[in-house]
Amino acid sequence: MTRRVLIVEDEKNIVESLTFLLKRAGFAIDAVMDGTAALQRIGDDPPDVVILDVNLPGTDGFDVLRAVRSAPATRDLPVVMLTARMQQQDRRMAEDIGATEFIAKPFSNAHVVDTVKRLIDR
Amino acid sequence: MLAPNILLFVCLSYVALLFLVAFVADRQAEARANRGHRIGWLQSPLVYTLSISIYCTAWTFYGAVGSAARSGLEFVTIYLGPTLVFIGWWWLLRKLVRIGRVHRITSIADLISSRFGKSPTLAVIVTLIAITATTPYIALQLQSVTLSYQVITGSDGLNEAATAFWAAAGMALFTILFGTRNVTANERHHGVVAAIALEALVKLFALIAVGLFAIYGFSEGLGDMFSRVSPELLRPDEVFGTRWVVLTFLAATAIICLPRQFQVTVVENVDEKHLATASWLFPLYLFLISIFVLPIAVAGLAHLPAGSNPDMFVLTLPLAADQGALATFVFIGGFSSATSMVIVAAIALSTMISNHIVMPVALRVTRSHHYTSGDVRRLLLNSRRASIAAILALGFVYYRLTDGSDGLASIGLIAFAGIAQVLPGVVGGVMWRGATRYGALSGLAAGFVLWAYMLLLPSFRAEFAGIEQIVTSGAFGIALLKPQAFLSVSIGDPLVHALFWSLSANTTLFVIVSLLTRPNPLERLQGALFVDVFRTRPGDQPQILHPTAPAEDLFVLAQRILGAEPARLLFEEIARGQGITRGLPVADHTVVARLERELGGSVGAASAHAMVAQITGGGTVSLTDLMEIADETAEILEYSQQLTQKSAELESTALQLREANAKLKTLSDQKDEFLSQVSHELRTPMTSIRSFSEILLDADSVSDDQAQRFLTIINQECLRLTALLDEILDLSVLERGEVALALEPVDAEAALDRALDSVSGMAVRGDVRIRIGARAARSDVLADFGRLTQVFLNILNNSVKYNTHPEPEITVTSRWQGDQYVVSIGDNGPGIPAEDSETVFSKFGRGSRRQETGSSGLGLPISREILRRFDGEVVLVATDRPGAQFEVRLPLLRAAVE
Amino acid sequence: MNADDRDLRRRKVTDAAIFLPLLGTFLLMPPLIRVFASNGEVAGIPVVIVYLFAIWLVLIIVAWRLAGPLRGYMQAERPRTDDPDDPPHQDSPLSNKPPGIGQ
Repeated sequence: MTRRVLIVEDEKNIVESLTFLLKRAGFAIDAVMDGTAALQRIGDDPPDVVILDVNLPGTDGFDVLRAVRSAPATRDLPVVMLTARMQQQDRRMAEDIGATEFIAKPFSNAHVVDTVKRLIDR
Repeated sequence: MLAPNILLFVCLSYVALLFLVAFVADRQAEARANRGHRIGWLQSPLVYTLSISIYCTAWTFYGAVGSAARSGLEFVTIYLGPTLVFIGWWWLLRKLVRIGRVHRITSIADLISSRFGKSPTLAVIVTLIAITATTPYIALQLQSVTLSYQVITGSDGLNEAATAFWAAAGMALFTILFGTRNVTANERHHGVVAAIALEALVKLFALIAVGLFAIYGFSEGLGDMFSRVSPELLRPDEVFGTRWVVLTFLAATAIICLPRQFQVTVVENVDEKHLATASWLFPLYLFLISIFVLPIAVAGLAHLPAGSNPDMFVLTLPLAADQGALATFVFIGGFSSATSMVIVAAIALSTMISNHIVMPVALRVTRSHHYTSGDVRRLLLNSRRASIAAILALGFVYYRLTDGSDGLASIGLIAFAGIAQVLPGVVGGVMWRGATRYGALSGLAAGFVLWAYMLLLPSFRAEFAGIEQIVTSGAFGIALLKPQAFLSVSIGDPLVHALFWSLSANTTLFVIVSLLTRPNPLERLQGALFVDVFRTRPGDQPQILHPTAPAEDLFVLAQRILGAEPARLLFEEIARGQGITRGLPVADHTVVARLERELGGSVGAASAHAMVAQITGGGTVSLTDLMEIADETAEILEYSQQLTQKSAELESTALQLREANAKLKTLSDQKDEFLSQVSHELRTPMTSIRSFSEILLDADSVSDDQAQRFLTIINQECLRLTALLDEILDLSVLERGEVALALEPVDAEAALDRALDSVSGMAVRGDVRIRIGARAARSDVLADFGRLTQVFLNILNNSVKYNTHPEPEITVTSRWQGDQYVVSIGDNGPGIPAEDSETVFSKFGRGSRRQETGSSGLGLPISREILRRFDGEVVLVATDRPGAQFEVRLPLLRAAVE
Repeated sequence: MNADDRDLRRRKVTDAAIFLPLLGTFLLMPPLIRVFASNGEVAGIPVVIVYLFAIWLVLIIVAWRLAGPLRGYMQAERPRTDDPDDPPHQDSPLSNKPPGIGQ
C-alpha cells in the first residue's frame, strides 16, 4: 500500500516543492497550513510520516509535536521537523520534545526524501 | 628600738614576697593569655581598685598624721578630692578610661598629645612637667623610707645616703624586671599590679592596726580620747576656708592627672566596668585610711614627748609602747606606700620618656634608613629601662641635694600643683571640640612657668641664697614679680597664690588661644573622636578601599614594634575584615588609622603617627577626607545621613543595575529574536529557491510546464528575498538615524493619492475594492514626499495582503483633527486581536496572522520609524467594525492650520 | 518592667550619678561645712568630725548603690576590644541611642 506523508507547512511554495518531491518518490501526500488542522488530520487518520515546520501561525510546530507525543496512539509516529530559525536552539528544543528527525531549511531535496524513506522502512 | 639586722631581714623577706607575687602573677597571666583565658583574680575590680590606692604614698601614710597634728582636719581634703572625682566617675573618669582603651593611650602625655593632633611638642612638655613634678616626690619617698628606718632602728649614725641609695636601687631593679617586660600598653603589667595590690592591703591594715592601737591602747575609746583634746586642734575657723577648697580641688586634680594615677586608672584598666566598682570602693579605701589619722595624731600629741616629729607618730607610737611587731608592720606599711608609688611612677614616666623623647629622636636619626637597622622594640625596652634607672637616680640626687631640709615636707602639694597644669588640657580636650593644640600649648607653658616660679623655686629658698633674694624682693628686684605676691596681689597662702595665678593664666590662655587658632585636620579629627568617644569608634571612617601606603612597609613596621607574631595576627585580622583571605590587606585610611592606634599603644600616638607618616608620606589628603566625616557638631548626624544616603544610593544603583540588566537582557533577547526572525525570513524563500532549483537540475523528471512554473516561483522568491534585504537595510539605517531625511513642507494628501494609485495599479489582488471616503483638503506637513508615500503604501499593502475576506475591501479617509492631519485606512479582514496591537509594529511582528503572500513583516516597523522622523505616528485603533483600522497622524504646519 | 520604665529608671540613675559629686561638693565645702564647725559633740566626738565622716560614708554608700545599674548601662555602650571574651559589638553608630549624660 502507499505510504502517506503529511506535510505541515505554511509557505505554499515549500509545500509545493515537497509535494512534488515526495509524490515522485512514491508517497501519498497530504498537506495542511497550520497546527490546528495538522492535529485534526493526525487524530483522524495518522499518516506514516509527518513533516512539520516549526514556524506555524497559531499553534506552532513544537506545540503540535508535544500534542502528538502526548497521545498514546501517535507516541511513536515519525516526525521530521523543519525550521528556518536559529538552528541550535530549535534543534535542542525539537530533541527535547521528541522529534524523530530535524532538518534545517534550506534543505537538500535528496536528504528530505532519504529521511522520509528511511523512517518509513524502519 | 629594733635591731637593724632583724628589720633588714623582715624587709628583705617582704621584698622577696613582692618579687614572688609579681613573678607568679606575670607567669599566670602569660599562661592564661596563651590559652585565651581571662586572667582571673588579676583582672578583678578589687585588684584594680587596690592598684589605684598608690595614691596613698608614704607622704600620706606618715604625713597625714603629721598634717593632722599641725593643721587639724585639713588632711582630709587630700582624700575628699579623689572621693568626689570617683563618685563622680560618670562625668570624667569613665570618658578617660574609654578614650584610653579605644585610642590605646599610654600615658597622660600621650592623651594630651593624641587629642591635640598627635603633637610631639605637647607630649614633650607634659613629660617634662611630669618629670619635674614627680622627681621631688620620689625623693620624698626615699626620705620617708630612710627616716622611718632611722626611727625604727634608733640609729642616728646610720649612713642615710647608703640606705636611700639601696632603696632606690632595689626599686629600680624591681621596676625594670616587672615593668618593662612588654612594650605594649595593653599587655599590662600584671606582676606589678599584683604586687602593688598586695602593698595596698599591707599599708591599709598597718594604718588601721596603729589606729586601733592608738584608740584602745591609750584611752577608753573615741569619746574618751577626744574629750582630752583641746578644740584648737581641729581649728574649724581656719580650716574651712579657701585653702580647704583649693586643697580639695588640687587633690581631685591629682587623682586624674598624676602620671602614676593615670597609669593605674586608665592605662592599666582591663575592663571599663571595674571603674564602677572602684567608684565606691576606692573612696571607701580612702575613708578607712583617713578615719584613723586623727586618733593617731591625738594619741601622739598626748602621749609622746613634746617635740616629737608628728610625721613619724605612726611609727613612734607603737615604739613608745614597746610594740616591736606592730612597729615593724607599720614600717612595712610605710615601705609599701613608698615603693608602690615609686614603681608605678617610674613605669609611667619611663613610658613617657621613651615614647615622647627617645623615640622621636631615634626617628629623626634613623629617618634616612627607614628602620632597616635596629629593632624598635629593643630600643623601646632599653630606653625604658634606662629611663627608670635615670628617674630613680634623679630622685636620689634630689634627695641628697635637699637633705636635711624641711623643703621636702611641702613637696607633695607642690607636685600636685605642678601636675594640675595638665588639667585644662585634659578636661578641655575631652569635653570641648574647639580646643586646639596652640591653646593647650600656650596654657600649659604659661601655667608651668608660673608654677615653677611661684612654687617650685621658693621651695629651694633655704638652699640657695639667690632664690631667697628673688622671693623677698622679686626677680631682678622688681617687687611686682615677687613669686609669692605677684603683681602685688596679696594672697596669704603661697600655694593658693601660685595655683590661682598659674591655673588662671593656663585656663585663660587655653580658651582664648583655642578660640583664635584654627586646628589642623588631624586635630579636628582627634578632637571629634575624643569628645564623642561614646558615639564614635575610631573605625568609623569611610569604608573606601584606597591604598594609601605599601602594605608591606606597614607590615614590616608593625613587626618591628609589636613583634612578629602579634603583627601577623593583626594584619590577618584586618585582611579578614576586608574579606581578603590570603596575603596583606589593602592599606587604606582605615588600616593606616588602625595601625597608628595599635602602634600608639606601644610608642604613643605622636611617635606612631610620625612612623606611619614616614611610610604613607604624611597622609594629609586622607586626613582631609576623614575630616569630612568627623567635622563639626553635626558629625554623627552627617555620618549617619551619609550612610543612609549611601545605602539608599546603593539600593537605587542596584535597582538601576537590575533594570539595566533586564533591559540588556530584553535587548539581547530582542536581538536574538530579530536574528532568528531574519534567519527565518531569509531561509524561507531560499528553501523554495534551493528546492526548486534542485528539482530543475534533475531535468529528466520535470515537464516543460512544470519547469516554467518552478522557474516563476524561483523568480518570485528571489524578488521577495531582495525586497526583504532592502527592507532590513532600510530599517537598520533608519533606526541608527544614519539617513538624513530631507524634511520640507509637502502635501500629505498628494502622497496619499500617489500611494493609492500605486496600490490599485499593482493588481496583486485585483479583486480588492478600495473605497475612498471623505478626504481632507490640501494638508501641508513637514516630511519627505517619497518616504511619506512609502508609509501609506506599506499600510495599504498590509491591509491588502492580510485581508482574507471573500470580498476584500479597504476604506481610506483623511481629516484634520485639531492641528493634526489624520489618515484612516481600514479593512474588512480578520482584524488584529487587541493583544497584538503593539506587536504588529515590531519587526517581523505579524502577530499570529500569517498569509501566503510574501511579506517581510517589516513594513509597519519601517513606517513607524519614518513617521517618527516627521513627528508623527501610526497606530492601530480599536473600532466596533470588523477588520483592522490603522491611523497615520502627522502634525499640520501652522500655516496650513491658519 | 517595660521599656519606658527601664528608660526612665536609667535616666534617673545616670542623673543621680551626675548629681552625686555636686551634692558631695556642696555638703563638704564651705560655707555649709562651717555650720557644723561648732563646739558641739556627738558621743564625745566633735560634731564636725561626725558630720564629715558621716557624709563621706553616705556618699560612698550611694555611689555603691548606683554602681550596679551603671555597670549594666556601660555594657550597652562598650567599644570593640581585643578581648576574646567580649561579645561582639552589636549596635552600630547609627542605632541612635539616647546620648548618655556627661559625655
